[in-house]
Amino acid sequence: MSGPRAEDPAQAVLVPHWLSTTDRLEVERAVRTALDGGPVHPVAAIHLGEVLTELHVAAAREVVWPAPTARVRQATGWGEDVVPVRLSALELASVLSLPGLTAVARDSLTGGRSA
Amino acid sequence: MTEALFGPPSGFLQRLNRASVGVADLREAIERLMSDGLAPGLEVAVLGGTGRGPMLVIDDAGRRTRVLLAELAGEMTRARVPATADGVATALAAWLARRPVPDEIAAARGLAILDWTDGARTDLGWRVVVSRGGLVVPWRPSRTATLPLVHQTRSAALGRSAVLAGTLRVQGPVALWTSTGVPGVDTAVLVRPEALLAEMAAAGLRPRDAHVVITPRRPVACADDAVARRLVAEATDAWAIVPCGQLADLGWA
Repeated sequence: MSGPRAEDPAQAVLVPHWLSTTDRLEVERAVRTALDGGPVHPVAAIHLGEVLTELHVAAAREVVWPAPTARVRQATGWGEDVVPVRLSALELASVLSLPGLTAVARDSLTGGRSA
Repeated sequence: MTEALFGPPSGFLQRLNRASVGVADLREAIERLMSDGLAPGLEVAVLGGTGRGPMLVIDDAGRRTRVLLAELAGEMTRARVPATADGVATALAAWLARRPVPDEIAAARGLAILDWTDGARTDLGWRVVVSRGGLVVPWRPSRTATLPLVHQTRSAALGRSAVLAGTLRVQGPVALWTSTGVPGVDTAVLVRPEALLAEMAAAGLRPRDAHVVITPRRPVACADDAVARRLVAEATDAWAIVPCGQLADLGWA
């Protein structure tokens, strides 16, 4: 059994990006298109794979610990479908580098609620 | 189990309120509670004149709890319970709902769940709990409970947990398990983790190194080690990650 670790240097810092269902679906679509479409650099492919994992994990967090995000939504007035998607700097960069990503999803990752 | 003794904590403004709950307020709330009717098998009485002031005596199916009214009123004041008739009555009802579970009720209805064993919420252990009006109340053996009775109660609770209905939901690489019917006892599924893993496999999820993420009273998540670590990243609630294979080693809380 293990509890929270004080500091794990091997683990990158995950920064929350508050995305609505539409934003998350768009990120997922863009990542899947990139991974299925053509040759992707193996390292980029790993990061993109982690982004897909995170999209699922973000939804799972909502089931296990819904209260903290509900408090943020209440304070900010954001919709019920807005959840924090936690990405490392490299994962975020790998998503933003996708040419197929729509401007709406790009904005939600770089500005808007995440700014 | 760490939980507010008198129900959910009051809001910020209430915290500024310094009014204290008195014994008279408490007496009034007890009378109101008794006139409203108590749960079957439950008896409440106020006995006075013991030299230390009036005492509240609760008799629940033979399990007796005594507390000085002044002491209870002091606890309510410290918990910032509003010193109004409604405030005290609500707090008293919440306190009464958390009264100790009688041994015979635990033996007849107890469920085994995983719970924190310490106040710092770092270690997990099994605990027998009883669901009482939407609340999950822990059982602590009474002074008269014999060792065989404690073992029998625990063993029966494990048996009940093993057949408790639940729902598996697969979210990508994460399996989420929620108990259906009784809220707050989701960790009961971990009595037989092999059943959880089998259901996950049937749903197409076979983690190489399955770990469970446990926050007592919350749904249980099961995933590969790396995914489990990702799940708890930046979590504000207390949690523990346990490899599925080590669940059997956890003792009683």
